[in-house]
Amino acid sequence: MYIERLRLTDFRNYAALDLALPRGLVVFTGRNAQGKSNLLEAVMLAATSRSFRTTSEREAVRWGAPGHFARVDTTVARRTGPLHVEVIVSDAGPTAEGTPARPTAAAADPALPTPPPAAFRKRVRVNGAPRRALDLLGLVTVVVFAPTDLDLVIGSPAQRRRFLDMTLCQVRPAYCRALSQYQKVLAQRAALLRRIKEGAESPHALSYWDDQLARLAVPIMRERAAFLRAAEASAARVYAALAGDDTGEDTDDGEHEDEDDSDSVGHPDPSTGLRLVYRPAYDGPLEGDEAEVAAAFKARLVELRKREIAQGANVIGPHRDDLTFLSGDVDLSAYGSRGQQRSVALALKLAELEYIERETGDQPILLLDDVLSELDTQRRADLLAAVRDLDQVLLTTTDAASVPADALAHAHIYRVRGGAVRPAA
Amino acid sequence: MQPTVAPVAALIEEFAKLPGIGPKTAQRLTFFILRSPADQARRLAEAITRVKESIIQCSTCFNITETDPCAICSNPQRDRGAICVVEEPLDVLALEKTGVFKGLYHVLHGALSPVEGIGPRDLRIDELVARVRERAGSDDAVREVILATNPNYEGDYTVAYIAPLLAQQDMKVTRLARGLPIGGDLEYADEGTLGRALEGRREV
Ligand SMILES: Nc1ncnc2c1ncn2[C@@H]1O[C@H](COP(=O)(O)OP(=O)(O)O)[C@@H](O)[C@H]1O
Ligand SMILES: [Mg+2]
Ligand SMILES: [Zn+2]
Repeated sequence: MYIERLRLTDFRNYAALDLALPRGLVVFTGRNAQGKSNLLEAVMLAATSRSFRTTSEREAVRWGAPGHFARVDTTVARRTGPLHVEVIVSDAGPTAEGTPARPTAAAADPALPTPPPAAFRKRVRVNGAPRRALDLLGLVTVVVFAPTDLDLVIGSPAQRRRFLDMTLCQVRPAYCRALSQYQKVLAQRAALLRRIKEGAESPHALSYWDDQLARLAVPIMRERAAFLRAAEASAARVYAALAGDDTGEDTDDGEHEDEDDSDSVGHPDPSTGLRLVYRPAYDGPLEGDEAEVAAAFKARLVELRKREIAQGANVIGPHRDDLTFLSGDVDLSAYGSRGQQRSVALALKLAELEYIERETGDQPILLLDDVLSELDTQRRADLLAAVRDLDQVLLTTTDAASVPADALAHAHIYRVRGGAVRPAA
Repeated sequence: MQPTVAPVAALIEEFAKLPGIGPKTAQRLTFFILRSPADQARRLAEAITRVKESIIQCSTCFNITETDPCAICSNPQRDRGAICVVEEPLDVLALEKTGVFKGLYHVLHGALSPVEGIGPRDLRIDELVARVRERAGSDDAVREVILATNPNYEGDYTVAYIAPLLAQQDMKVTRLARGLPIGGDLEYADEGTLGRALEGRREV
């Protein structure tokens, strides 16, 4: 699939933009802080109703925008037919729905202060019809790759869980629904555990929440495990190709002091490849009959009862999952060189891309935000070669020369300056 | 920020105490009233006062009423063998509109929710159990209790908690059929959906 047209109103530094986009490799160049990443953020918002850079989409409303809302409006060409998606985020405004209507002008006293802004809202329309944000997922799929994705490898487990969830939510609406219900159950169950600890309720009350937790946790864990099994082969293939380029003159960012250490642990032979190992907090078997797995999960909850009550917290379940990246026996998160870690992040993203395409029968749109500057020449070439057949790649860079020449030859180049986008001559 | 005059501040403070109303909304409501015609504001104030002066809870079913027992509990035409258990008085209104149910009600005044700190003691659950037990074996013994809580986790949990307490011979405990949207509220369900949910109820 690919974005045919992107229209923005009061989104970030774009007061008004109407941009027709071609298929293939689209390069947005321009100096820093001109609005390149904002374009990719807008596409992400239309695909998922979320932003990749902030947890509160209301920040996306252009500062000083008179209407207190930002609109992202896209037309997407898909194998299954075209789609029109509109996402409006509002940071304020008495016109937002749910706000009391203004009394008649006659009754209004101009001496009174204007009412403070309404609460934030997000509205989604698909082909003109209102939809819940949750129902947007999967209609337009995207894979985002940005420099911060190194955190997938070296960051906290929460960042790796977010990667799993973002991928699976785009592919399986049922996963997303289960996840959102799971969050509610977790919150109720944690509160109940604390109330039991305080003596306000009896431990018997847990049995209902144990049922719910098991019923939701098991399919979530199984989907995660299945995704990692399916993605491992493509990740390993990409990693082997990239890791083979690890020449040591890798983009040096001064964070390499431990390179000798990692060598002493045993520099992995690139041919040993990459393994994606799921590390669920619940270590019982996940295969087999779903009801039996859920029963075993529940039995574990009973064993853990004392501990959970003492901690006042949910001790097992997908919210505590992690995954590790192994090359041979080496945990690359801890012992890989920075170059290897970058290769893992990139391999994961490309594996995600293949997985989404295989599962949905359509290619996701790839958003590459400023990643070339982080990669050495060889990795840049490998990356762009790997994605050259995609329907659409939207790439931002401050330096068009960083795009490998053969890719640049067939790229569509746009210059971004101060919230305006023009095709390069 | 405008200097806030005392009566304005007082009204904002009172609004902010209402459920689901944060400080922002409280301010908006206050400004709305400030800008409305005087008689509109007076009608609102009178409606609030009247509700508190004349409305009480029925000592049998805990529905809100002007008389005790309430009109439903004291209506000889109603089927005393069936009790429909709901979370809120508004749910009684919604169910009455369907015209499907001819029995009596029991209003819990909420649903169990650990997150909100609402436990069994905070609802009219003991009263329900007592009401059913007292009449066991008598002429107006209860044949069926319908647990009509909202179709969300809190409502479902409340059913799971109450059902075993009611288990006794010669009495069915049922719950509404799942025609209701998940995460929905009874009071917002349309009459057709609610009527079908009642007719398709299942034993717990
Ligand atoms: N809500 C907003 N309203 C107006 N401008 C914004 C808003 N949020 C960010 N910006 C501006 O957008 C620019 C950053 O855009 P970005 O796309 O990140 O730049 P780059 O071209 O470096 O990728 C900055 O100039 C910033 O001031
Ligand atoms: Mg940028
Ligand atoms: Zn009554």
